[in-house]
Amino acid sequence: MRRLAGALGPPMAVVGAVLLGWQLGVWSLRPPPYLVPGPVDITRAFLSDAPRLLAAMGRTGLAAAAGFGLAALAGSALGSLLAASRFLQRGVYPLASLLQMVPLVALAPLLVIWFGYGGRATVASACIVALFPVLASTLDGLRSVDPGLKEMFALYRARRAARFWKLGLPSAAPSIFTGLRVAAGLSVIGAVVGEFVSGFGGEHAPLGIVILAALRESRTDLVFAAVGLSAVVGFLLFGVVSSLAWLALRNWHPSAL
Amino acid sequence: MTSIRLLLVLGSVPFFALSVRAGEPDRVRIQLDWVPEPEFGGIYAAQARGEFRKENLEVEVLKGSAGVATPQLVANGQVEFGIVAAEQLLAVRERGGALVAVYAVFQKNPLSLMVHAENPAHTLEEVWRGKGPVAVEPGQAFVRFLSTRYGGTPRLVPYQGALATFEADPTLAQQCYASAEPVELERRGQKVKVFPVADSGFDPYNGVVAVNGRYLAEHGDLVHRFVLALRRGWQAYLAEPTAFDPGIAALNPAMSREAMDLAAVKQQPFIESDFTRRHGLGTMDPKRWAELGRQLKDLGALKDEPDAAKVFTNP
Amino acid sequence: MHRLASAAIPMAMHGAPCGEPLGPRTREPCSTAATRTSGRGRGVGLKLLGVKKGFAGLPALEEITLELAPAAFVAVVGPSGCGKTTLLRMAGGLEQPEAGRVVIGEPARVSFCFQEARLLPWRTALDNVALPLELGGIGRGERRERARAALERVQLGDRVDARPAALSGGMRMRVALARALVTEPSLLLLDEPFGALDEVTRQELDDELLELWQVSGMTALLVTHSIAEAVYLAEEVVVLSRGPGRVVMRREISLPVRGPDARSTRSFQEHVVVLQKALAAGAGRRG
Repeated sequence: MRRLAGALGPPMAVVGAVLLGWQLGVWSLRPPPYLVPGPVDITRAFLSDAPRLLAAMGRTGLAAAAGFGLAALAGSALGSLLAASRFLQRGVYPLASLLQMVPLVALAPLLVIWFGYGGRATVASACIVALFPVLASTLDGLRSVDPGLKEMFALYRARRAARFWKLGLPSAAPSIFTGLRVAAGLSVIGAVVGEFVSGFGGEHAPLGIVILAALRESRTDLVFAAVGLSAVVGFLLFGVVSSLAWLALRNWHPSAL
Repeated sequence: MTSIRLLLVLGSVPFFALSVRAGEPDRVRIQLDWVPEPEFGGIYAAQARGEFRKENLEVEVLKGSAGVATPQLVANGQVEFGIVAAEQLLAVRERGGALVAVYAVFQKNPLSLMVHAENPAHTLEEVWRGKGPVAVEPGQAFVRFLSTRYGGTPRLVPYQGALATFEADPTLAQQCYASAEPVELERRGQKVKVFPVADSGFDPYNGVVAVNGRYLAEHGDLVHRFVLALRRGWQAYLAEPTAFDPGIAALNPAMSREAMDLAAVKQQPFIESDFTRRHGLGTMDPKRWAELGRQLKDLGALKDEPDAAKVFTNP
Repeated sequence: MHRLASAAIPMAMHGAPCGEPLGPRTREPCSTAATRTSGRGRGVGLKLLGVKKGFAGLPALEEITLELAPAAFVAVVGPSGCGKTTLLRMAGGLEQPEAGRVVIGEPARVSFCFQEARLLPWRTALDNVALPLELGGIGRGERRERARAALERVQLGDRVDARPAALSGGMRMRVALARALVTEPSLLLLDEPFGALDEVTRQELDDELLELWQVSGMTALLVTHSIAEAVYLAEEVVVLSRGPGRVVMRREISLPVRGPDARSTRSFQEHVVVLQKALAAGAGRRG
């Protein structure tokens, strides 16, 4: 418990200081609300519409989590596959890196055509963005196994499957978790961008639609509130990954000792 | 130097200064809220005919797209003039952005919902209460109005400006300008039915040219000259749109010249009204602004009804 | 497979059977007299016949012939780069000779001990030691039991659940040793296993190794930098010249006593001096 407080304390203090400075700036400089709202305005915007915003956050969060989960599975599976074959590595890896470079906003309308409106296109969007970091970190981790340990496994005549599950994967775990941490944040961005083109409006709106509507209505305070909630989703996903990493690595990896 | 020569030299300075001022035109920018189409015909016509230059203005026309935040850009001084929707103007005013409307292109709002010709709906209400999805820009005020008016909301999906999704889905209803997208679709062989939102009783001005209130206070004369030139441009465009459409089509490859010519004709009833025939193209009625303010307050989109007199001017 | 009957364990000078604990960390040393449990135990013969190896066109080892009788303990010393590690790796099948052949007696159960412990950092000591059995298909209960026994034999019975990060360098080497022994090898190949440890720990581990060898009767081939260690442990020391390595000297080591007291005997010092001279001579000559 104390450790948790120790970890959360400093960042919360920094956030608090920033918010205070921001609010003081707004009070003294008085910028128009459509341009720069203060934290107080943003909080008020959130509170006056909390149920709708929280429901939107839930939708975006589920889509991001689903996209992240798919990316975690597919990315690690693909990374493992590529690690097993030099040929596949040379053929597929450069193409996979293209995933990173295609701008999502250009790809998103295509996703709507393929997956239809609503959750599926959003999940696909989140998955696409989150996939490459997991793939790359898995591949890298598997290629960086200690050669001394590999030799030892060869000495014991270990079969391929044993080498993967008992040596490769645990050895690659720290690297994979790093990739997962990055993917967690990216999946939220992917979900919100996907929602821009495929999210439902009205009562079933996810955060992406809330943001677009608020922009059009010059409700900048609501934009910030919605963006803040999407950041919360990102933090939650990141926290889940970090906790899993701690559980898996805590007894042996320098990063968790 | 003799005193006479000195007088001549000194006397000529104001002359030079005046001639320099008179010679150099005022540079302004206008931000469109969509891609170049006949809905901005008057602007392009005014440019082509040199109307702006006659008023000593040099106007740069900035193309828009889906999602361009025109009200905020004008309020923040990034551009001098911008095209906004009337409800957007009232919203940003309430949020501290002092915009003032100076010209309203569309006296009847051309925003409509279109459906495939085979769609069983016969009225706007049937579309709104139907089972099919409706593609609208998130944040459009008429959504709240129609939901309140007809009680209920269809499944809303985002509208990003593409026609491909509409063509692919026969159950889809999509936001459009009555004079624009349906025309292009029919040219491609896709027949549609069009239901103007204005028929439901929600009829804000559209294609509104807005300026920053402070800019208006400091450059009232410039704004006046701009509006005069714009009005003449619109008169010219309405009289002979085919003369100016090639120029617009060159700027927008997504819409064909033929479609533009048809659209120009179709949009005329939305642009001219009894009011404009009495007071001039683009002029605005305070009663319309007051009614819009009341409607938006009832819908919860505005906290208070604005003072209609402050919101616009007919320079 | 099973432990040797106590009758085979030679008597120490002090009258107590050697190998019995005198105190928490000391054991009765064993003398060389009747040390070798010839005919008993599980060691097999190893023959390296005319083996030769080069890397990237350059010779590393010239034709070397080395024969170890079952249950023998032979040490190979030489300057850096003389190819002694390569020799060991060829003996174990990790590398193939360009010429000559390697013959290992049946049953050929070979275990390696490297200079690094090479433990899986995410596994406990117990699971690390159990690894060879696990990869060989032995069931969970049996392999854990055998691993526990192996760890007890190297004095780590109380640390079975520790992970390598929580163990000192010496303890990690002991775990590696236990892992090498858990499969009850007939041939144990050691590549400078204690080279990275401090002198005190090294000597402790040498003692443990000596005793484990005596009790199990396996054949052992040790590569080391330390002549003292070679004399202490082995029955025969082979000196290689500077690379490309060839045999410069083979010397049988006979000592009045085996164990910690051996280091102070004159016999021990003499062996060391002779071997050092041979090593220096072999190192000075160009290959």
